[in-house]
Amino acid sequence: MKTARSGLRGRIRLPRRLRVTTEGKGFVLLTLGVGVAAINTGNNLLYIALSMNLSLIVLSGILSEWCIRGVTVRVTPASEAFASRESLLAVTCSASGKRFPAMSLTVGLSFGEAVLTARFPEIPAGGRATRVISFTPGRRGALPLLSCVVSTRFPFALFEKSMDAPAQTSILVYPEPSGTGEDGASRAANGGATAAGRQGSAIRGVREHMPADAVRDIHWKASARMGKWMVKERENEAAPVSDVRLPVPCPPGELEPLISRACAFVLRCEKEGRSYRLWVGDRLGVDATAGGGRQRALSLLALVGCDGAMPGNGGQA
Amino acid sequence: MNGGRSPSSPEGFLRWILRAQWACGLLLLALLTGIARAALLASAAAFVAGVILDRARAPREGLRRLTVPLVSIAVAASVADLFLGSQDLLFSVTVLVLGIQSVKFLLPKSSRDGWQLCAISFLEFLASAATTTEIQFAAFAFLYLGLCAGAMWALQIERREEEGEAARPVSPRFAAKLLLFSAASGIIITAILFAATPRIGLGQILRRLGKSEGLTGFSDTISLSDVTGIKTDRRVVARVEFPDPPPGTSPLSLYLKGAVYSRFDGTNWKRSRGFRLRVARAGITYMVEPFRQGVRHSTAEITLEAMDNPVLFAYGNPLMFEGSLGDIWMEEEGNFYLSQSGHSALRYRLYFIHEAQRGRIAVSPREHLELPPGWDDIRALAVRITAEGKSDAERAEMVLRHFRTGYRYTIADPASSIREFLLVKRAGFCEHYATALALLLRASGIPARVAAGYMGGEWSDVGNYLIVRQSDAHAWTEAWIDGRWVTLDATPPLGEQSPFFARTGKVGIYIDWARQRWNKYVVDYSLKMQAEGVSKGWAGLMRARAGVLGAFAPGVDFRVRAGLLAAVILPPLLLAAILRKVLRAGSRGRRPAGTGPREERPPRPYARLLRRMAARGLKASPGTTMEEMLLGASRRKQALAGDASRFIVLYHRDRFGPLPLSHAESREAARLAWRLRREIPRPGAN
Repeated sequence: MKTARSGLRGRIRLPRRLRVTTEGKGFVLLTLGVGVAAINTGNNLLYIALSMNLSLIVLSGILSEWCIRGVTVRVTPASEAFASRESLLAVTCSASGKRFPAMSLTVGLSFGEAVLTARFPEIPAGGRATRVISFTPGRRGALPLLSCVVSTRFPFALFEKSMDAPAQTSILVYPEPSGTGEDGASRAANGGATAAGRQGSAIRGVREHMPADAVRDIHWKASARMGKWMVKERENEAAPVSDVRLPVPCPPGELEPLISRACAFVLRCEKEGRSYRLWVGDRLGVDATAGGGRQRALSLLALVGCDGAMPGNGGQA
Repeated sequence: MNGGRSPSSPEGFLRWILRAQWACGLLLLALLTGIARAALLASAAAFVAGVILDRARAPREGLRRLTVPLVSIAVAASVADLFLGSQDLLFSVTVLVLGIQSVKFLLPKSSRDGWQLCAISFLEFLASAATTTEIQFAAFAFLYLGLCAGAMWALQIERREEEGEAARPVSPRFAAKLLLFSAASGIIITAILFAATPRIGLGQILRRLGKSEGLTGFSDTISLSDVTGIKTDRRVVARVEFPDPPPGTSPLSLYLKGAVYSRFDGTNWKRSRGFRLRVARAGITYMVEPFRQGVRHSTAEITLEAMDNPVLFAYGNPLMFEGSLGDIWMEEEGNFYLSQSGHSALRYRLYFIHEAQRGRIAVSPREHLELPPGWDDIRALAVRITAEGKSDAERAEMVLRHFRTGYRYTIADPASSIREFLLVKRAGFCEHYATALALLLRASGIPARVAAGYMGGEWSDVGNYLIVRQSDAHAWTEAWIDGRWVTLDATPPLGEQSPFFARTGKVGIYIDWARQRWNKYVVDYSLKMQAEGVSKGWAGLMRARAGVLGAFAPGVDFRVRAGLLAAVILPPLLLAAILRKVLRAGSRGRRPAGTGPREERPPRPYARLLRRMAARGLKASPGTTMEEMLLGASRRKQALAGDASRFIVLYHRDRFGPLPLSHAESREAARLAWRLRREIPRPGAN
């Protein structure tokens, strides 16, 4: 019976939900008291007081609707997300197309078990505001945004009105890096660690900025021209390639530490500018010898399964 | 709670509104009630001190230790007031509330304290609502609604600040607009809810809070004392509407009777101590006498101001009362009284017969024919006056005519006794005339008594009702002639010649009208009025339905049908459009900005500029942007180049930018467009 009821409630989802706050409960109780007094005494001025309270409740509904209607939410990662490490999310709340400002908004994001909250005191009509919030994902993999709820207590804090905002966002959580990166590499290193890349003086070109890039590598003119951060791509010295292999299929308990070490290895390689190749079983997952393989490698490590299957890549790496 | 911000700062604006809401409760108590002046003063002082301490950000944590002793003092004061002072529960509770409020004013305040102070302020508002019926309450209600909205908004922001949110300042202009909107729309919603809420007065727990203090003037006796005070008193006693006025009679000549007096001891008239009956009651209807067939009855709706006596005033011969009056008692003489000794303003409908009717209760002749011992000179005078009268009616008429022979009305120099009035001075006021007439009638063998109440009043053309003032107080005589009590008035009608006559000015009449409407539609709004409203609405609906059906009968003009159809369809559509507008007022719709059908149009100044340019032969060719065209046109007149460039920048921002232009920028764009329209020359012109 309970399941049926919750199922029905899930299907019939109202566009707005209301929760009575503590102050609201007091207000409602006071209103009921005034109502009882008015009915008992028949005093019309008490009926006015009762009507005033009810009108404030109605006004609260109208103003909160004006406040919340038309608000859109966009959630984007503000940094790379690693399991068990603090990451950043950018929550942008937009009131474009509104004539009434959005006041006292709270955006609640539910990523699985993690529930995040971003507060927006005021978004002017037609404007937008961004809040960067931190969160710590529990495990690697794709983390879909289960729900995005926009709520407000504006104007009187008597009720909290909330609505579901469409925000189709999925965050890819990379594995938690563990170790220094050397021992992970030792599993299948081929050539050892040789300092290379980004150390040369000749500039091959410019490319888009990646989170691990140093500030000194920013190409300011190109950044100004392109309107986004661009960094210098330097000529690499010839360097040996490091291989890291993930032995799949593998029991889950054993695979995760390996993935964590591989992740640390990839990050170290990227930091030091070393070339590397990532093997999943006997298949080449990522060949980063030409550079620019960081995101692909980390994505592969985030999504790879115990049997080597990788969602969105034909089932196999 | 940070109370130290400047009132001009946005945060300060809402916080001042919050404080104003706290103070408004005190103001209501002070202006509209007579509750506990000392406690009010203490609370006001605490409020001022609290504001100063808040602004100085003085550390006051130590004061919290005084909370319990101070509240204990407030409790003690409240108990003392209940048992030794006002002896009124509402007053005593208010003293307690004011005490707690004073303590909270002095202490530092979190948002929780703010909510509590708001609740206390609302309790004060309730206390004033329970004890007043003044029209000023309406203005305060409007103000209070706006203040409540602002206060709760401020507390909502306060709460979020306490939860760690860095609150962004709210624009004072936006806040003021929103509060004004809240107050105005709140009052409209309040009015609708007030009218629609069913009036069910159970009266089971506590019928009436507070004491009623009102007009005085009626007592168990009438004497020839000085009446100057009453005659100069312009306070309104009653406002009377006549839905069915007595035919052929002006309301100004009607007697609003309060009581009759039958026993005269030579100096004073006293009420008869006969039996009294409770008037049969069914709900709010009180049946005095059954309606008689063939006898036309009249109706009066009387709004009686607060009085400290239980008299229920009535015109003519009352048949029925309607109203929430509690029990009504009728004395043997026909006086009507309420159960309680005094009352607040009350409204009732009276059904009465204006013409004198045969009495239902037999008259005790002996009591109504009595003269004080030793008044043979009066008997002789009466015999002389009525010697030729053959019937009671003729003799009564002769006595009345007697008072038109050398008697004069005066308040300045009246006779000190009835003997002096009749035999020597022949000067007095209404009590002299009424008493003298009654005594002469009694001496002539006609049962007579004196009645007191109000006569006439001032007719308000604005609201079509009669304003009865204390200065309209009057005494007259009733004589038992042909089996009925007949009203006889020997006092000469002075009208506008009266030394106390004063006509109310136009403004005063309108103010009184507002007060009358307030009393009628707010203070005395009742279930019966609601039922009548529903009944009238239903009847109107049925008439409309019949009209619509009739319009579609064969042979009816097409235009009539179309008009009726429009009348039926348009109002709901209009209502739906308004509702849609209100509910969607906060947003421009679900389309993203810039894609709505309305947003395709360029801003108005720009469109007008383009039209003007097209009219001057500067039409845009395909491939030429508006910007190029405008710059090209202005190039021929170098002085305009700067304006054109600036205008284009504003246009681009307005149309494609993330935010609309500010008010100043919009005005600037309009000014530039106006100038360009005027200055851009025709092609080929120098």
